[in-house]
Amino acid sequence: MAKELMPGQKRVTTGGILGDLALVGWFAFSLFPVLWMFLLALKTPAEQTTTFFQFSPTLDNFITVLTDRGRTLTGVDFKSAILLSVLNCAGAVLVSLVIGIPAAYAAGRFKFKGSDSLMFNILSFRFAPELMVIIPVFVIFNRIGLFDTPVGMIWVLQLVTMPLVVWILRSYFQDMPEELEQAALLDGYTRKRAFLMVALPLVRPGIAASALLSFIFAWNNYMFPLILTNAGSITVTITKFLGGGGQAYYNLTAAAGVLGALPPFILALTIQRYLVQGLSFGAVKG
Amino acid sequence: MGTLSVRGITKKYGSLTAIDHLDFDVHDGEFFVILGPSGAGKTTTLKSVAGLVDMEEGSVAVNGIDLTMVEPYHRNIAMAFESYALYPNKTVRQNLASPLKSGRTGHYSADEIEQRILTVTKTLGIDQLLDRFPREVSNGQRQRTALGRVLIRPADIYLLDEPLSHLDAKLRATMRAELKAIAQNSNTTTIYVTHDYQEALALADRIAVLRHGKFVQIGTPVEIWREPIDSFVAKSLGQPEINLIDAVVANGRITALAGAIDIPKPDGLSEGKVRLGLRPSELVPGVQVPGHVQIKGTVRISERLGRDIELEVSVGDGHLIVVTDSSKAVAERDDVVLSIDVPQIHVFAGGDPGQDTARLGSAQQISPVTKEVEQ
Amino acid sequence: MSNTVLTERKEAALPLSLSKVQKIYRTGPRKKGGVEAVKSMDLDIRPGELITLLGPSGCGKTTTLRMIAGLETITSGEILIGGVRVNDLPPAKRNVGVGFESYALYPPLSVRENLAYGLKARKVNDAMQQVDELARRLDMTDMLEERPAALSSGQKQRVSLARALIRKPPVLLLDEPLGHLDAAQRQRVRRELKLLQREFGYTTIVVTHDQSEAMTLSDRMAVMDAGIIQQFGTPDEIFDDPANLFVADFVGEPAINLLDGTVVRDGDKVLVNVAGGVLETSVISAKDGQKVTVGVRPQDAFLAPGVKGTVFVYEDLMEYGLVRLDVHGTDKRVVVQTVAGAKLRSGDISEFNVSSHRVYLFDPEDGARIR
Repeated sequence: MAKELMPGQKRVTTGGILGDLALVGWFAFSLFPVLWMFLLALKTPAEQTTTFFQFSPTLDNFITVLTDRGRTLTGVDFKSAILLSVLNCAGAVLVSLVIGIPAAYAAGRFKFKGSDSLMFNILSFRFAPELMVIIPVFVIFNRIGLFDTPVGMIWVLQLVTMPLVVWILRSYFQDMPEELEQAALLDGYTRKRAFLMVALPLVRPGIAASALLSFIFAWNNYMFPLILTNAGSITVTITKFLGGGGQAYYNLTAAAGVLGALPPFILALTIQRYLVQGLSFGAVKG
Repeated sequence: MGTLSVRGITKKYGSLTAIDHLDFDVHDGEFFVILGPSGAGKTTTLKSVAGLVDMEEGSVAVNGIDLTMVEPYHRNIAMAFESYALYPNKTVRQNLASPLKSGRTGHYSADEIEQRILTVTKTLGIDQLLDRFPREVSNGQRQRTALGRVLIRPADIYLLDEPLSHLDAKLRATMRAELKAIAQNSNTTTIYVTHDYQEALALADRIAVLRHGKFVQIGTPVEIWREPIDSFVAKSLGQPEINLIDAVVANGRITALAGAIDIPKPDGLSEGKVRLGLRPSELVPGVQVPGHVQIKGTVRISERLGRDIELEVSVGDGHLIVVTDSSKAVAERDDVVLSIDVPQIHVFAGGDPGQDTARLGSAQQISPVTKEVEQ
Repeated sequence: MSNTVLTERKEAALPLSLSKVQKIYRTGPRKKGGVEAVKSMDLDIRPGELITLLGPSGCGKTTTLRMIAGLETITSGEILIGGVRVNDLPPAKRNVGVGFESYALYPPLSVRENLAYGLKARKVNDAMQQVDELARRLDMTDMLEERPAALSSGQKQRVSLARALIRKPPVLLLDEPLGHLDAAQRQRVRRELKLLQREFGYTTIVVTHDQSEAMTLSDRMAVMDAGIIQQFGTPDEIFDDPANLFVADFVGEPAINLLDGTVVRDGDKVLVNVAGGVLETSVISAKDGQKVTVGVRPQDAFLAPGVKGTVFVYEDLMEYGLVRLDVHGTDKRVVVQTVAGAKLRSGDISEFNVSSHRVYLFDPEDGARIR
């Protein structure tokens, strides 16, 4: 047979092997902290400062963190922090969707004076470091009594999630051929019904993806809850196990960290399907 | 059933004028075909009538009622899009039922809807696909579904945007005949957009030739074919295209192709440069008909087109394309005499290559009025 | 034509032959089973001949071309170019030039540079003149200074074609070279392609799915279906004397009309009864009472007493007319080409007939032609 490569064949080269090895190295390096946290979460208090890999694993830390034992021991109420975080994040996502979907539709469908700069302004909320706005927001919240309330938290967290929803969905609406809705108009449906009947169902994957992504972003936010609540949220509460001046419970911190990382991890796996799936308007035009 | 009256509609996209002050009327029950190359503004014209684009100027009226400011869903106009625009999340059946369920095209019971779906899908040959989604059927079947969604409903005006363009040649010819039969039987008012001149000739009561957003000529198929207003219209109909050759009028004669064409000039044609148009099928090789113009040449290429052959004949300092019956047995490199009837020779004004010029008449007779239809 | 620049050529055209060439795509695990894309194909192409491989998608025509080009392995059989077995030669050593639809142009170079590239590498002196001359003939002078990214798909296709042509390969392989062009351009480019091919005598294989393109372009054409050449012959032979039902149906536009018939021998005459009437045929081997599929081309049929039908639709196309008749006693609709301006209306009763030597009979079972 001829030596040259046939379509689909791949040549093995030294460069290629070195590149692969480098990737494996980077993979191990970047995942090490996660592995360490996981191991630490399984250690007893006596083992927590050792660096040995050999120890007798226990789930005690998780139980401590989630029960009254943890609160007695450390004064931290982790369980209610989780519940509060879920409430706040879900609330922020809901608000973002209710306002963001129509906004994204308008941004994707209609070109009007200043539409581009408006979109850029929405996005620029994401550019600005939260530190820049946090002090004024803190002062305002204190004055109007939103400090340490769910409404206040939802309000600030949607600042994080709304731009995300609008920007993701806008591109979905842009990709959707306008003629689909025009066909619905000529079928006798009003613009609102055309939107509900045609546009909305077709961007469902986009809605799911942006909702999940928003939830993760809100969940992982640290700065807003740190300054604007006492009851705390999951991100802030985790750090409390390190103790303010008292004893630092590294093992409990790690267990709380694993628990806190779980929802984003699960959601990220779920979302992947939607992100890859994208939109299939294939049936619209050959 | 409806008459359409369009006045001065204009649509610009940025600095580009898609359609430029179009005026036309479509009579009740008429099949009106807009023929033009891609980018001429055909789709924009249809969408303006449907109310789907914001026009800069102009008005659209149906049955004497001005609809310019009326929302599309109140216009009672149906349109089939070239992109099909089928709802991807609905089955073929649901797509077809959609216009009947909106409440604005009349009120139908579930039985009536099903009955209409069956009738229309049988005609279009897609009755086996009702429960499939658009992504599960072929392009040709999608196009027929899109057509079905329009034909299933009552409307004052039907707008069809290249409804056969994605079908293969054989299915296109069959569907063209089906459409013609439907149009003949239902007596609906239809505007049909196409770039295919054979579709236009086969279907139209009247054809409007569109170029760069303006109508060049509006007329019956016979008028457009026999008396194209300029060389653009002449080129738009016929495949292979009409032969356009530069000629000179001097000393009472028209000469072209280094003297291979030398005919007396008709009355009223002034001296100078002109352009002659000879349709490939009007040039007949080998038969010497008395009174016809004879043109001597040599066959350079002979190509088989089904039962016909297409010849490229070197004549003088140029060449002519000829279509003739394959039984004529003309071989390459043969010398051949082409004959053409004098009235079949179109005379256009002279112009630069690539420039379209007005038709002055035929080599038999110069038209007395040539500026009449110009806009 | 006077062509002073584009006349020099270094290598003579070469014959090409395929002998029992087969291609199986392995699909199953452990290489069991597979799809036979090309089945034991024989083809002899003379030096300087232009042939087309015509067929529906999936018939194996592109696979065949890719095997000749060396872009696809050959499962069995052999391919000879100029008498040399090329099965194991890499594409570059096969003496072939390819103009494939997907054949990439170098994006940073202008069209002119893209075309001149190969010539410069071979130190051709008048490269620029050759480029200009070819560009003029393919009607692409105005795009010479453009970059490929600025071109439409039709324009890219012409550049691709020009690049294959300008190198004057002894064997030229083209895959759907005119697919993206509009009707008027296609006509011009097709004719120039043919003239250039004759002048330089490249042995040329064109793959197409468009029967009219194959008819107009070919010296000879191979009509393929299901990995098999159904018929190989001149356009005249293919159209006038189809080997089987597939060829008759695939070639010709509007498509051939097919009716169910029964042969009736009446003395010297061979007649075929098609419900709506009786047609005379010159097929001598047809047996009395034999069931056949009758093929009548729309261009061969004419309106005269013979087979009765009701006019479904008449279309006047100005150069000719087409009438569709619902043949009485059948559910078949036939197309008959008429003169322009025939006075026919839907619902009229009409009749058509055909010259006896234009009535084709096929075996209804396997589609084989009955002669």
